[in-house]
Formats: sequence, structure tokens, C-alpha cells
Amino acid sequence: METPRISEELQEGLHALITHQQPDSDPTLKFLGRSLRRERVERLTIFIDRTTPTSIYNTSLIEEAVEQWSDENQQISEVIETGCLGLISAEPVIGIQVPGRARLYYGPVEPADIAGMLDAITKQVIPEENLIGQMIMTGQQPWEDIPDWKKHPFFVNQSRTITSLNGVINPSSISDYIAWGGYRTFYSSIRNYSGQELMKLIEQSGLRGRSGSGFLASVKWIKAAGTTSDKRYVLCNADESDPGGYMHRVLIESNPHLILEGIMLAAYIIGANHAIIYTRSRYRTAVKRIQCALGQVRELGLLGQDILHSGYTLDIQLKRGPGAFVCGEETALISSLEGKRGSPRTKPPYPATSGLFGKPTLVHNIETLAQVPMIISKGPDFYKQTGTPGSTGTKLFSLSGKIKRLGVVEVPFGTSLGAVIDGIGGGTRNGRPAKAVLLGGPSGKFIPVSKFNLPLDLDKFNEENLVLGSGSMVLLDDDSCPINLIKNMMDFIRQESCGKCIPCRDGSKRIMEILSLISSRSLPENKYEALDRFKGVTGMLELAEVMQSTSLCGLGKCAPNPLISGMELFREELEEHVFDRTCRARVCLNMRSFMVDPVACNGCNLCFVKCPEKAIIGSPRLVHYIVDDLCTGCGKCFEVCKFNAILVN
Amino acid sequence: MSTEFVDLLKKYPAGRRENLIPILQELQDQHGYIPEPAVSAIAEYLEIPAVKIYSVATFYNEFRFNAGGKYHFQVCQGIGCQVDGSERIRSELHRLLEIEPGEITADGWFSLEWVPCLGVCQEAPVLSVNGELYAKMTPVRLKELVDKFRNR
Amino acid sequence: MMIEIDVNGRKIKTQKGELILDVLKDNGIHVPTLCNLEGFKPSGACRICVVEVEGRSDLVPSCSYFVEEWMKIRTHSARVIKARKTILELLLSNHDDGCLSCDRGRWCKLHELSFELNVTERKYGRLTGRKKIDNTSQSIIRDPAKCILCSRCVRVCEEMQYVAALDFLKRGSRTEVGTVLDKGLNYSSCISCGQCIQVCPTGALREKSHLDQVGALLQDKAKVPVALIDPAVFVTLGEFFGYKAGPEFSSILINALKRIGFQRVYGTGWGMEFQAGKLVEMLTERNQEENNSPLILSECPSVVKYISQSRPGLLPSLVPLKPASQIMAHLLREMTSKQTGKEVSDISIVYLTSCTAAKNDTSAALKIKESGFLPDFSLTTREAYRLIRLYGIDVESLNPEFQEDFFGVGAKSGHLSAISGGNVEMLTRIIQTRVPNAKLNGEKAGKLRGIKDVKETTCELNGKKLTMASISSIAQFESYLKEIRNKQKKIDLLEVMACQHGCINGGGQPCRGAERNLRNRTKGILEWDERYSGIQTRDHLDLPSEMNLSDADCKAVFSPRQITK
Ligand SMILES: Cc1cc2nc3c(=O)[nH]c(=O)nc-3n(C[C@H](O)[C@H](O)[C@H](O)COP(=O)(O)O)c2cc1C
Ligand code: SF4
Ligand code: SF4
Ligand code: SF4
Ligand code: SF4
Ligand code: SF4
Ligand code: SF4
Ligand code: SF4
Ligand code: SF4
Ligand code: FES
Ligand code: FES
Ligand code: FES
Repeated sequence: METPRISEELQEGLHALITHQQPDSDPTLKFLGRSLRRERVERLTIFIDRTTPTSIYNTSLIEEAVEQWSDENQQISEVIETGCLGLISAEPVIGIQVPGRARLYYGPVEPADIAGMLDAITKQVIPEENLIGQMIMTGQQPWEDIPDWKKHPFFVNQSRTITSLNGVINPSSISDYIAWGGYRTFYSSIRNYSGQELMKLIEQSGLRGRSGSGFLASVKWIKAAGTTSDKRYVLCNADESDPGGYMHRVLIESNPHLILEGIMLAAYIIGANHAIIYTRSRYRTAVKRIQCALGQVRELGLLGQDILHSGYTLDIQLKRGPGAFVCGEETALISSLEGKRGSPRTKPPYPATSGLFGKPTLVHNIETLAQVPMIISKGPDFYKQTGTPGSTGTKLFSLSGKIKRLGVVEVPFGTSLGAVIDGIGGGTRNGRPAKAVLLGGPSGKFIPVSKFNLPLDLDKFNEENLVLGSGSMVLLDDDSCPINLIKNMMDFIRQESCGKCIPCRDGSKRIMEILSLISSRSLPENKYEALDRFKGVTGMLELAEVMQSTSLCGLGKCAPNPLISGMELFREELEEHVFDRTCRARVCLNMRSFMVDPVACNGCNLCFVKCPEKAIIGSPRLVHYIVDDLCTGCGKCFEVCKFNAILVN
Repeated sequence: MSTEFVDLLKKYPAGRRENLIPILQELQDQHGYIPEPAVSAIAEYLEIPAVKIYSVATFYNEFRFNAGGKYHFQVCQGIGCQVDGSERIRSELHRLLEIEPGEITADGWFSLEWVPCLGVCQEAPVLSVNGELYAKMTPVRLKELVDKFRNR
Repeated sequence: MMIEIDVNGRKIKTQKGELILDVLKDNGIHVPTLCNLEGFKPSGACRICVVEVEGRSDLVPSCSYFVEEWMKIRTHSARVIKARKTILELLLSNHDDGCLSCDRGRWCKLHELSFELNVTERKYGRLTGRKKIDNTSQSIIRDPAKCILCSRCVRVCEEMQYVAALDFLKRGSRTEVGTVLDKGLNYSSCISCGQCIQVCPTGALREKSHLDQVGALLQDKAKVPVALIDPAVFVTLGEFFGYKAGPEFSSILINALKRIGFQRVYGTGWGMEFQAGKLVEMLTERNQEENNSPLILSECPSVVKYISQSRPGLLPSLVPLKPASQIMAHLLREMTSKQTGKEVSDISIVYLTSCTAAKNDTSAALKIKESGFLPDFSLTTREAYRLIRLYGIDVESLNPEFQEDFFGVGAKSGHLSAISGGNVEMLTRIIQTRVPNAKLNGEKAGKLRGIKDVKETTCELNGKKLTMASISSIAQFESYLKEIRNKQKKIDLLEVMACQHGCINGGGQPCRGAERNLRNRTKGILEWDERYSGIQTRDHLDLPSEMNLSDADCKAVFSPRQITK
């Protein structure tokens, strides 16, 4: 991807914005800042979210609709690409701003709606359908009687710090980031402070790793900075391999420069001249965004030799992970960067003393590094005001599953789980009772509704022997089958284990097999199957414990978490699967039974045609009948019947 | 060394193993798969045994040694989709195409891959065919989709 | 630093920096291991060696953790035993455990462990199907269904042999060990040394057996079966029957083979010396001119294979002589044919050897009718043992027997060729006895003996100093080549053996030969040499006049071999 060249004039302005003591005291700079922040726009401006979650909707159709409307109405308009506000269930989200007035956010928006919306707004009438709210910036006249977007139930209890610019700025434009104060911290750090001085701030901030372990960051920083070596590395772990999470991708796609600044500061503080961002190559847009951001940073001279005459030299490389969950583990990640199989190795030695190519390497989660600019700019005392004494700052979560408002949220540590699920997320999608939340994906644990008042706090979670995880939050309602989900998680582990050690490689496979036996039935039932099933259930926990205690790395050690916590919480459901051979959520394939409601069936014959097992008898215009012994429970008939005549049990 | 890959290899310093994955990625991007002769060419250039290259390449999801099918199915493996029934989609695909992930049908038409969350969980379960996303899939719609491709 | 740790409630004194496993071993505590490989960096992969360390929630693999002074270790707590057993059960759940028809059978480490850990049922999984066996190679067979992915073969092949024919492929529960592009060993860089068989704990690796063919041969009345035995087999085979390595068993072996149906039984010793004599002639001539790169002995087929595949630049340095086994095979065919009146083509040579690579150079492997110089079949030491068992020979009741004709076995320094350094020692002796004005410098043989990595010696030939060195394993070979290059060393002759310590550690030897066995075998060879080398005379190397063997016959040609297609 080529970088849009930045004009020399703009470059000068941007440098000034970064380096000037008080840019707002200089009228030209102030004006430049305001324009770049789009506090003032000259024409109708449409902001379109172009992050991956919108890829399913053809957002270029929205753009076309805008152009068409402008042509027809002889209006000049501009379309700006933005990141994601976080409210993914409202995608596609767009912002509309007319000169002088506050920006309005809408979602979900259909291309067909555009003309009507623009007609109305340009006439100063605000359509309220699908309105998220208005975003008021300095010098803008607010719309009357229109709620602020921050009052939207999804945003009202969030505390947006590292995500504050998400969905607001153009992520492909460095001037947006700089106009909002970006890179000033980095500049003043390398010009005015030594690494040691800044290290103190990190220490005092109490910053802890956001990848799940919650390890105190400063311990690693001091180790990495203190180990004598000719080379040091900073490694930004943006692999986000947890299949339930997408917050890191959204962060990169919405504000890549924040990540870069975090990395640059960390590198300066520990005295590294090389840094690497590792993100999965499947994250195409994220990769593009980083490449583009790196190009711009280099162009502005914020990377390279002797950065802005500070004497400091730094280069950041982007490496694309070729796809393996285990490569999120730091030693596996390092192996992968060295061109090897992504197998973890025994620790110690830890990467902070002997990491990439045997050199001291500071490995951090992307979210941890994103906190750094704020810690340095606002100071540890300010930083510590958010969160709890033990877990300072905010944490990102991605909400998915059966939740009503899906998306990426940022809340202070200590917020209760319920406040996130029921408050921000709006509870379950269909209003059905919630069952539990799976926090931390395939290495996480289930948390039942009864514990929803638990504060999201690292120490509290440790105390309760729970897993906060990297931030994926999956809500299950009573239509979801935890047994099935656990089986799928274990299947995932079976495929994603590096295959090095026996307990993880073979244990996951066997547990998965046992769970498959439990959650499906073959027809006709094999005579050993019941025996195998009972034997399996008794052996499963034992297997899980051995896996936990003997696996080499965190993947194998944590993989049994969903199983162990699920077996405790969903004992009854498990037993129903094992003994009654039913799945009350009617999710497990082949465990559902289907029958035709003779009253509703009008004999359309469609199910007869579609049943792959030829399990349905009946002729046109007569009531149909399902032969239970032949039916495998695939559910096809249920899907195709237009008369709701197929009943599921 | 075969002249075929020289231009690509020359972009990287010789004998440096850490470039193995970027080289493989570039090959994969160019050809859609890793051509077999490339293995010995890389081995020679980076001075590592050929089997190591194969070993590394087969470790990661991204690399394949055969061209993908005409229609490449990528099915979301994310938890969001799982909670919304992606398993039914996966088992239906198994049934329809009779291949495992990473394989290709005998006629070369279809290939299959599980991929991480595609980022559109609100539309789960989703899958993508040759980069085009299909949302809210059901086994019936899937069969229709496959039939449509088959009849093209 | 001396520290004291607590093991199972007993205090144990030890050094800081020691691995837990080593400390336990030194104190007589046995902990099972699978992936651990003596002399290699621990991989910590199998986890069967776990122990409990107080204060840690997980179990710790003793093979890859160092002792710390605060440690309280429990090696056989209920939790540990359960974990080990479960790990083994998991392995077995994936295993094609047809022990009855498995090559490894009673020598299998897995088999032994399942006894040790009291596994009495198949707890998880059902019998797994067979997997595709790799039988592309003429010497090594790989059966992935029996592989437990312990990585021992991978490490030996890469780190000791520098060959890296094998590695892990794929990942997760689909992980397997295999070759490049899954094409099989024959298309890989494998040099057939069989060292991987030696370290494999299971029956996943074995030699390509010629037993059936040899069985058929022994029944074939039209044929005259002749056994040709290399010295490593002579000293080692007795181990199976409880004999000490050395000359004792060799004469019993002759008797046993005769009872099985071999009409004649010979050793390769004479051939070794004959070829060495030729080499001395070459050296004498070569010495006249200046020569930079050393001559490399071509006696070891794996080394020849390695050079022709991976270091074709060194092909001209190989001593252009056929290996002794081939010279012997040829001469024995001629001689036996004369003595029995049968056609040369009816004389079948069965080569009993510790070398798996020797299988490549048999007419059976190359599927050619006219054997020429090649032996017809080759049997490894392990196969030879099976042959004796198969034919119901009770070796205890046998008397020693000698075969005292011209190529008789009980003689000469040719035996030395089975140990690393032996070829050079033999050469120096021949130089001493055959070349009028040769001198062995600096007392000699001692320098070449013992288990060392590199052995160097010099002697004087026609007033010129001749430097010779012996090394074993390809890793040593590579690093020695580098040393020669870097230090501008001048070496005239290099003896390279692919197997560490020489053929006594060949790929066909009894598996799981501990270090101790190797020492005993080395001693056995030297003892044997002491007992018989007195018979050596100056002219025993001259061929009887009725036999002819031209210099051209002895010559070998080497050519590069392309591997990955
Ligand atoms: C199986 C496994 C997967 C992991 N995946 C990730 C990941 O995707 N992203 C990440 O930042 N850390 C991941 N980690 C944690 C890393 O090993 C490492 O602890 C982390 O990058 C440190 O960052 P932090 O200190 O900022 O939390 C994973 C760990 C394990 C065991
Ligand atoms: S626990 Fe699993 S992922 Fe970790 S090293 Fe072992 S096999 Fe690999
Ligand atoms: S599809 Fe429904 S209405 Fe039609 S025959 Fe089947 S059950 Fe009856
Ligand atoms: S559930 Fe599937 S198998 Fe059963 S009757 Fe309906 S379509 Fe046929
Ligand atoms: S390898 Fe061992 S356990 Fe496996 S079948 Fe052979 S003897 Fe039995
Ligand atoms: S050990 Fe058991 S299974 Fe094996 S042959 Fe004897 S009786 Fe049969
Ligand atoms: S025989 Fe030797 S070269 Fe071949 S795979 Fe085994 S160890 Fe490697
Ligand atoms: S072949 Fe043998 S040595 Fe190699 S990994 Fe398999 S079991 Fe281990
Ligand atoms: S050292 Fe001996 S046994 Fe080993 S490969 Fe060479 S000749 Fe064969
Ligand atoms: S889980 Fe499938 S798109 Fe997110
Ligand atoms: S022997 Fe220790 S992990 Fe295998
Ligand atoms: S490494 Fe020992 S069996 Fe896997």
C-alpha cells in the first residue's frame, strides 16, 4: 500500500504541532489544529466507518449515495473514512456534519436512507431513526433536543481513553492524530527526559499487562533495560489469537498511531532501537493501517536515525503472523519471528532477559502499550485515578454471543461484569434469560449470572480463581449450549496446540472426542457407545487436571479452564446430555428430535424433498411424518418449513 | 539455483533464517500457494535444511502447497459464530464437499479453511467465499450457495 | 555451589545448576523419561518425567528444570504417578499397539513404561488405524502409526548427523514426523546411517529387513549361501545371549551360522587390510606431490552418501576404492565357485553388519541379477539375532569353531575398523610392516584409541610426514572440516565414520545401547585384536596366485546425487 505523500507545507505544520510548547497560543497553529480535528468544516462532511466489521455491508454504496445526492442537489460534500466507535451491532455507522454544527452519528444506515437523511439535515431537521447521538466539539453549535452520543446506553458508562479517538478520526491520516495531540508526548520525552526518569512513571502508574496474566509491566521493563546487551527489542503482541476477541483489531484499524506512539515510548524508555509489531496476516485492514501509519511516521522523521535531532534512533517493523493461536504466546511468537515453528519453550529464561535472537526483549500486548502515551503525558497520579488500586486504568472488552449491543467497550478496571453485560451490552439479544458469560475465550472460564456483580479487577479475579482473559466476553443465553461450546473450544485447542507436548496435543484430542460422544448420538446407537460415554465422563476431569498440571505452556495449562468451570456450573445440563441424551438448548446436532405438527402441516412437501436422510414420509397435500429412527436431527426440515409445522424437542 | 525464484529471494539477505516466513508469505501472495520447487531454492538460499522449510510452512495456517479451489470457503471459527450455530455450517460443509480444512475437492472446485473471527459477529454465523462475505448462514442457504457455484 | 535439597523427605547434597533429573539419577531414584536424550539439550516435550515441587501448582519436568536450594521434591507422589500414567495412556490412545507384530516388541520403551506405570487397559480412544508407511528407502522404514513424536530421531539426525532428513510437520493433534514435501526418506537428505533407529523408543523406525529373502536363500538347494561378517557384529551379537563383548562369541557365531545352513563363514577383516594396503600404495605416490585437501576414507557408505548429496565438492577427495565388503564378496564368490564347482552367480553372499546403510549396496536393494562385487543381502546385528532364534539354535550348547582357510576370521588388525580410529591404526601398522623405511611417530596407537571426538596422529612414510585424523559423526566431520580450513591444518588422511564411535554404534546394532555397552564393545574389539594380531605377517595381504583382482577392480567411482526433486 502506498503512503499518501504529505505536502511540505503540511509537514511543517505537523512538526510545529508536535514540537511547539503551546500550539494553541499560536493562531495559525490553532487554526490548523481545529481544521485538522474537523472542529470546523467548510462543507457537508460524511464520516463512514470502514473497519472490518463493516466489510459485510457495501459501504461504497453509501459513499455513492452521498455523491449522487450531492450531484443532484449541487452541494459540495466530502467523505472521510473513520475507524469504529465500537458499537458494532449498529454498523454501518456514519457521521454527518454540516458547517458550524455538531457531528451526528447514525447506525445502522442503509444506502437508500442517505438521500432522505441528507435532505433533512441540510434543512436543519434531524431524523431520529437510528440516531446514536451528536458529538459536540469546541466552537460548534449543538443541535437542540438531540442527545449527546456519550449518553447512548452503549457509551454512557464507558470510560474512553485509549479508544477516545476511535471512530472520530481518520485512521489513515497522521495529521488527524497529531491534531489531537499525538506524538507530542514522544517528542518531549526524547528531548527532555531520560529513559530512567520515564521508567519511574511507568513504575508508579502500576501498569499491568492487558493480555490476561496481569503481570506488572515495570518488572519486565526494568529487567529488559537492565540486562546488558548490544541490542534490545520491543515486541508489540498484536496477534489477538483468541477466537472470541476483536478489540485489538478494532483498535489498530481505528487508531494505529496510538499504538506506534506507545511502542516508540516503550522502546525509548528501555533503550531499544528496534521494535516489531506482530499481527496476524489475516487482519488485512489492520496490516494495511499499520503499514500506512509506519510510512507516514517515517516520512515525518518520527522514526529512523536521530529522530528530530534528539540523538535517538528507532525503527519499527511490521511482521505478519502466518496464523497460529499459539503464536500469541510470547516465546512461540519469538520462535516464529526467528523463522521457526511457533512452539513455545520452557521459561525461564524470560524474554525480558533472553528473547528475540537471545537479546532482552520487552513483549507487551498492544493494549498495554496503548496505555503508555497517556501515562507519560498525564502522569501516574492522574492515570491511577481510573480503575482500582491494584488494577489501574481501563480495559477493553469485546462483547459477542447472544448480547444485544455487540461491540468493543472500554471501562475502568473495577466496573462490574453486570454493568458491562446488562448496562452497556443491553443484556441478551432476544430478552431471554442469560445463562453465563465466557470470559477469556478458549482459555477462560464461565461466570454465571449469579456472579455478575463481580468487579472486573485483576486481583479480585485471581482471588476468585477466575480468568479475566484478554478481553473477550461471550454471553450465553438459555438458547446456548455450554457443553457444545466447550467441545468447540477443545476442538480449537486440538487444532491450535503446537503439538509439542503430549498432555496438550493428545489430551485436547481425547477430551474433544469424549465431548463429541456426549453431545451427539449416532444412529443406530453403537452398543459400546453408552459405555464409552460413561467411561469418558469419568475420565474427562482427570484428563483436564493432568493437562493443566503438566502442559509446557499456557495454552495447554489453560485449555481445560472452560471444561472445568463448565462442568461445575452446568452439571445438570451435562447430565442431561449424558443420561437423557437431550440438549435443552437444542443446539447439539443430532440430539434434537423433530416432529410434524399435524395441524399446521399443509402438505407442501418441501421438507420431504429437502431431508437429506429421507426420514420424512408423506405425499403432497397430506400431513407429513418424520421417522424418528432415520432422522439425524440435522434441522433442515425445520428451516425450510414455511408453516412452522416442524416442532423441535 | 533455479532462476525462477531468484528475484524474490534476492530481496532478502542470504543465509538469514528469520526471513523464512516473510519469503513464504510473499510466495503465497504471488502464487496463492507455495510451489514445491521453491522449497529447495529457499533452503539453498537461506542455508537451512529443506525439511525445516516444509516443517515451518506446514505449521502455519496460511501456507498451502496446492492451489486453492476455484471457490475457497473460509468459515468463521470465532466464538461469536459458534454461539450462533456455526457448527451446523461446518458439518454441512463437510457433508457437501467431503473435505477437511486445508484440503481441496477432487475436481479442484472447492477448498475449505477455518478462519478466526471475521469481525462481523452481529451477522453470525458468517463465511466468506473468495473474499466475499455471506452472513446469517443456515445449512439450507449453504446448500443453495454450493449448488449455485456448482452450476456456474 | 553446593546446596541441599529435599527429595521424598531425604536430604540430598548437590550442585547448583544441575538438572533435577541428573540429581535424582545420581541418587538412585529412577524417573521415567521418553524424549530426554543423553548429550543433547532437553526438549521438555513428553512431560513423562514430571515431579512435584512443593509450592508450585503445576508439575515440573525434571529433565529440563534446574535444582534450587529451596526445593522440596516428590518424585512418586500419587499426583505424579497419576499424571505420568495419564500421559502414557494418552500416548497409547494414539498408538497402533500391535506389539505382537512389532519389530521393536520386547525392546520397546513404551512397552516397558506401560509395565512400569501399571497400565492395564486402553483407557482413551479406540485402536487407531494404520498410517502410510514410508518404505521408499532401501535401508530405513518409518511407520508413523507407531511414532510418539518424541523428537529424538529429529534431534539426532539434525544435531549429530547434520542431515536433518526428518522434522515435525503440521501441528496440533495432526502433528507428525516426516520428510520434506512428504516424499519419503529416499528423496530426502537421509544418509541411511540408522542413528535414528538407535534412539527411537518405539518401533516407528526400523531397518528394511532382508530376513525373508535370506530365509528363502537358505532353503534354495541350487544356491551356496556364504556369510560375511563385519567385526562389529562379531563382538556385539553375543550381547543378546548374555556374552561379554569380545572374541568369545565370535567363534560360536561361526558354528551357529553353519548350523543354520551357511556353507562358509568369513569376516571382512582381510578385505579391510587388503584395501588399506592399496591405500598405502596410493599414499606413497600421493605423497610425492603437494596436496591440499585430505583424502577421505570411503569405507563408510553413509559418509559417501553424505558427501555425494550434500558436499559434492569433496567427491574428488574420497579414496577411490571399493569398500572391503565388496572386495570380499567378489573374492569369496570366485573362491567358493572354484571350490564347489558351482557357478559364480549361484554363490550368494549374505553380509552381516552393524551398518544399515550397507543395505543400499546389495543386489537385493538395487534389484540387479548380476551381483558383481555387491553382497546379495545384508542383515543387521538385530536381524542376525532373529535369524539364530528363528532357526532354533541354542548357542549355549555350541562349541567354538574356527574357519582357518585363507580369509579366515580369526586374525589381523582388520577388526579394528569397527571402532573410530581403527582404520588409521590399521593403516599405521600396515605402513610399518610393509613399507621398508616407515616410522610410526610418537607412540601411536594409544592416541587413536578410546572414546574421543577427534583423534590425530602422524607417521613417516618415505621420509615424509603423514598426518592422519579420525572422527565420527557428521557433525564432527563438518566442524573438523571448518577447523582444517580455518587453522590451515594440513591433514593427509581423514577417517570419517558416520556413527559416533564407529560401526560398533551402527544403526543395525542392538537398540538402546548405552554408553557402557559402547565402551565394552570397544574393549572387545581391542581384546580381539590383541589375541590374534600376533599372527599377522608381512605378506599375508598378497592374493593367492589363482585369484585375480586388478587394480581397476578395486577402484570405485563416485558421483553426486540429487535429492529433492
Ligand atoms: C496460548 C497463548 C496465547 C496468547 N495469545 C496472546 C495474544 O493473542 N495477544 C497477547 O497480547 N498476548 C497473548 N498471550 C500472552 C503472551 O504470552 C504475553 O504474556 C503477553 O504478550 C504479554 O503482554 P502483557 O504483559 O502486555 O500482557 C498468549 C499467551 C498464551 C499462553
Ligand atoms: S502446551 Fe500445547 S501449545 Fe504449549 S507447548 Fe505444549 S503442545 Fe505446545
Ligand atoms: S414443509 Fe412443513 S408444511 Fe410442508 S410438508 Fe413439511 S411439515 Fe408440512
Ligand atoms: S431433522 Fe434433518 S434428518 Fe431429521 S427429518 Fe428433518 S431434515 Fe430429515
Ligand atoms: S512400538 Fe512398542 S508399544 Fe508400539 S506396537 Fe511396537 S512394541 Fe508395541
Ligand atoms: S501379552 Fe497379552 S495380548 Fe500380548 S500376546 Fe500375550 S496374552 Fe496376548
Ligand atoms: S538414517 Fe541417519 S540420516 Fe537417515 S533419517 Fe535416520 S538419522 Fe537421519
Ligand atoms: S520416529 Fe521414533 S524417535 Fe522419531 S519421533 Fe517417532 S517415536 Fe520418536
Ligand atoms: S560408521 Fe559404520 S555402521 Fe555407521 S554408517 Fe558408517 S559403516 Fe555403517
Ligand atoms: S465470531 Fe464469526 S465473525 Fe466474529
Ligand atoms: S523426558 Fe522430560 S519432558 Fe520428556
Ligand atoms: S517428546 Fe517425548 S514423547 Fe513427545
